[in-house]
Amino acid sequence: MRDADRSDVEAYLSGERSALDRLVLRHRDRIYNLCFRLLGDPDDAQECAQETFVKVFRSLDGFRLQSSFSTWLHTIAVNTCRNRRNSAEFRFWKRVLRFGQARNEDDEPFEVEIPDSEPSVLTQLAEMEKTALVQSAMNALPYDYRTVLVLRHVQELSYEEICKITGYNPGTLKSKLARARVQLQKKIQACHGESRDGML
Amino acid sequence: MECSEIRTILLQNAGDDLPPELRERVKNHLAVCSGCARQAEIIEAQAACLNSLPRMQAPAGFLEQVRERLYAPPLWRRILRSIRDLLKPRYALRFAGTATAAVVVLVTVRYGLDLGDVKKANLLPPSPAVEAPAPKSAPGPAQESTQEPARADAELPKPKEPPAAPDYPAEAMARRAEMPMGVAGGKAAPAGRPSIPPQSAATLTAREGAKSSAPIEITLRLFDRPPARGAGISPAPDAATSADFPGRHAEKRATKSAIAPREKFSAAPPAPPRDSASKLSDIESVIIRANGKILSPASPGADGDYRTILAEIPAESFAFVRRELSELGKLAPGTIEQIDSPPGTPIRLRLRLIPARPQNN
Repeated sequence: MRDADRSDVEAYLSGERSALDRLVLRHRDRIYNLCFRLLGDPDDAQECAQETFVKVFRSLDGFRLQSSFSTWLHTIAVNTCRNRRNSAEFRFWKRVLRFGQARNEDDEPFEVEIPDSEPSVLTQLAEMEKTALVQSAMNALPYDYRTVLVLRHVQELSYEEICKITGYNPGTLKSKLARARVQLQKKIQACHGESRDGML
Repeated sequence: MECSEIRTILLQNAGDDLPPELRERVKNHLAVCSGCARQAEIIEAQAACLNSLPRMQAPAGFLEQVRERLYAPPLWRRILRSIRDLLKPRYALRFAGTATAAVVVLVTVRYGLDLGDVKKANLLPPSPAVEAPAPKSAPGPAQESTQEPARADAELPKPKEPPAAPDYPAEAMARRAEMPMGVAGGKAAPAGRPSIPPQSAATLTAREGAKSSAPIEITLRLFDRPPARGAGISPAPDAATSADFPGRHAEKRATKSAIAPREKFSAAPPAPPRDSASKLSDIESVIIRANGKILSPASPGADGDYRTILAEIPAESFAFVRRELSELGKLAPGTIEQIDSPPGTPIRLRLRLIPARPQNN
């Protein structure tokens, strides 16, 4: 992927417009997923993901090809989501309360992608409930903790990549991850009841 | 290793591969410590749960929207382009037309509001065609057109008329109004000059049309020297015996006043300039002696350069007051000379006192 990104970036800088399409199609789902997990709202996630790509392509002239395009993309996405959250915090939290519910009666719920190939209805409901619970608990975390958890467990990036994206050193990152896990455990206990002991 | 160290290692490396020696020590501790083993299970479950969160896919049309946003000109350039478009002739004409229409609408609305206020204040008579009751018998068309409005007017209450000015001499105003423009106080304007009506004549004419109770304006430029001996200190006209007012003394004073006071006393040393308080006192004494009253004492005018006195005198005392004032100062040209109101009619005067011109020597 890294070589493909490099060649597409070079092609775009040389004037080939189709290289932009290839880069967007390759990274759009990951960036959208990252924005969605950081913001908790599909509309805000789409807005931020698009803004991330626009920023990236507008400043692609200054991009040095020594680092990874994906890491750079993630960095800009995290910063864009932070700015978005700071600028529209009230609206953000207001929308987060609606998470897990269909926007309209005709709309399908967001949680339609369940990895189980043939799940039963009860399994689907349980999975949806679990997903909504985890997401709401993550939304209650501070942004820094949420970012490192999402980058580590949702985006499955390495410590080195997370350090590049967030600017933390490895010790700070591990410390933040540990605190984020403790806080997430407490949030889940608060949401799900004390008897569950943080287990889902 | 203690439990706190083990739990820190577990929290910091959840789901990760530990170094072999550290992994062995953690494993040995978890085998003997149930609390840490339970904590390790929770952390592993949490990590697994986070890893199993569904991967969201970007909505349809994502690429097109990115392209659209990327190739759209920036906001500042769009604003700049809009301003440039506005400056083009055809857009400028459109803009001017729109602005003119907006002004016309605003003026129309404002005028309509003013008209509505006037109607609400009952200053305009109500329309008889709307409020008059229909006649019982049906007259012919000609009769209806001629008689119905009169009947309606007779049945409707008359609108309130503004109170007539009780203290304003209507006859004098009528006479003043008949005076040709440019002729003030019986004097014609010099030839070769534009015929500009003096302020007092114009004021009186306008006041007559308005039928208001505004006072008569008298502008007096005060002398800087005291009046001649005896001038302005004539005995007060007695109200009971004032049939021949202002009388013989007044005629004598009028003759004296025709001579310049300073020339008359040229042999005597020049009198010191009088202060403004004594001048005001003289003027007020004139009003009192004319059986008048001071309605408002001397107050500085708008520009602070002169003072204004509002007084009320009987109509028959106007000539006396005018003559006395002319001895205290110089009346402005065009000041009304005579009032034909019946005796006893109160006349209001607004005396505008201008200080003497400063002397150069």
